[in-house]
Amino acid sequence: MILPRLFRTYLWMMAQAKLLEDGPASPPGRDSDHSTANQSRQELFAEMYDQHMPQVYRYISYRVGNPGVAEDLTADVFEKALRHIDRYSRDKASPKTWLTAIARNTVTDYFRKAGRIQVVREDDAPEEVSEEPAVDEELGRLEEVRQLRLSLAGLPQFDQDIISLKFGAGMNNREIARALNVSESNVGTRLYRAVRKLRDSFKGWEDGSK
Amino acid sequence: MAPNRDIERAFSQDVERLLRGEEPAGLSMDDAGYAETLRFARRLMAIREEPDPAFAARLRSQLMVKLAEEDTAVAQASESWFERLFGRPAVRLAVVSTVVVVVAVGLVWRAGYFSPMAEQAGDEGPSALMEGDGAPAPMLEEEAPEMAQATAEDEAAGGAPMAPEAEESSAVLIGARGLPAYAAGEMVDITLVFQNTGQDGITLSPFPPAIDIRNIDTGDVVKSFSQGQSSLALSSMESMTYQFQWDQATQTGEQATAGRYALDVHTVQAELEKGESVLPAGAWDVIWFELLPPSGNG
Repeated sequence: MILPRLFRTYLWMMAQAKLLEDGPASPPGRDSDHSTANQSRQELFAEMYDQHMPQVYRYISYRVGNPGVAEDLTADVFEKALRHIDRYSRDKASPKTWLTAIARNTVTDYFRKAGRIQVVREDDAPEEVSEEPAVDEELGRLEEVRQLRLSLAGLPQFDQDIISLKFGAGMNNREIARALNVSESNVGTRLYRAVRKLRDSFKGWEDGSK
Repeated sequence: MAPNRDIERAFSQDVERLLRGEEPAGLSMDDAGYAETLRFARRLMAIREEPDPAFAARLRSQLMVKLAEEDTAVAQASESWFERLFGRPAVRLAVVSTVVVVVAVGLVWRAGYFSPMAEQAGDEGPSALMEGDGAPAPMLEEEAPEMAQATAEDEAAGGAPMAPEAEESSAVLIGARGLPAYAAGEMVDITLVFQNTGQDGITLSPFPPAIDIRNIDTGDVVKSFSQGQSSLALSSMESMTYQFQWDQATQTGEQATAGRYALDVHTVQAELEKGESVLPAGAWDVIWFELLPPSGNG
């Protein structure tokens, strides 16, 4: 008498358990601590990307002078950041400083790995001269840009970094000082001198082309 | 050096202004080289390239998917087998409910509600434990070993096992565990339990006993298993299990028809350790089970 009743109760409870298992309960793991941790990890990374990807791209683009390569290297930078995000600590460096350090290393590796010489590629140069003034003007501007990059590539790497971080990434002297591990006043001095050096180098090309 | 420092500082400040979209303040400086350098700085700003929005969106999407996949992999790897097994509320409920049922059955059992001795105390004569007017329900594993008693007297007419006499100090309990139903062709797997509930050691011989499979509805024995040649010694309160399997083939080798069946254990001799007396032990209807019709039929 009592056993069948107990057995039916047992079957009912098992059925309820099965329903709970299969039914549209709360999304799996949403309530767990582990999921919360992952969520914050993903939020941190998304925030980093949204705020600093343009700056990283501009810095890299300034250094390599080619949009395709700049995109590849930018992707490399953020994949490295993703792999090491667990080791990142805001106490040690701001996201901008951290990402800039990764970007600098990535660009250095890029030039070092295949023994590339840091020059602007020939295919970035205008190929033909048009008779139309507007097109001619555009080609002239492109050639000027190419020459600017060539001149930049001729500077010491530290100077290239300062100019790229300043005019490419748009960082202030304090941020550049943190990224390059020098004093802020040193950044001011080196920036002025590097720009003058670059200007002189470019002026030589301008004077020669006229 | 001081004037140079001023120029460098002024240049940095003016570049900051340019980056913010403001006009530089250091242009008034009486230094042609400075003004020219500042103009050049404007050109440097002009060659800056912004990322393609499509590229930015594509890369973001790829990275976020990758991160989510990594998180999933990490979560799966770090989850212990215990968490995986019992971490889900449904499994927890199932475990708790199982424990509750088992404890409840245990308590009822311990209270003697199902004890044959208790029933016999108020009702002398053959035990009705395996008999009864109504059809007993198929046994479940949780229902604990069913049993039949062997006594000095032989089984009563009709084959019902006899309850032990009150004076007897030893008795053999025969129980069984198995599924309530089996699919057609499925191996019928039943565990027989032999327990010596008495104070003295006992030897069952021959062992294993002969076993019959009987169709409850027709009363026909569809399969008989002959007894073994060995013996089984059980000390006081000791129990032993014997695994019994039947492939549903009848005595003629055909598949047994669907229906309800019972397992009968033939009487064997149960000899007390000291040789003082010899008790027969056997049980009818040790367990009931059902053979289901082939799936093609419904």
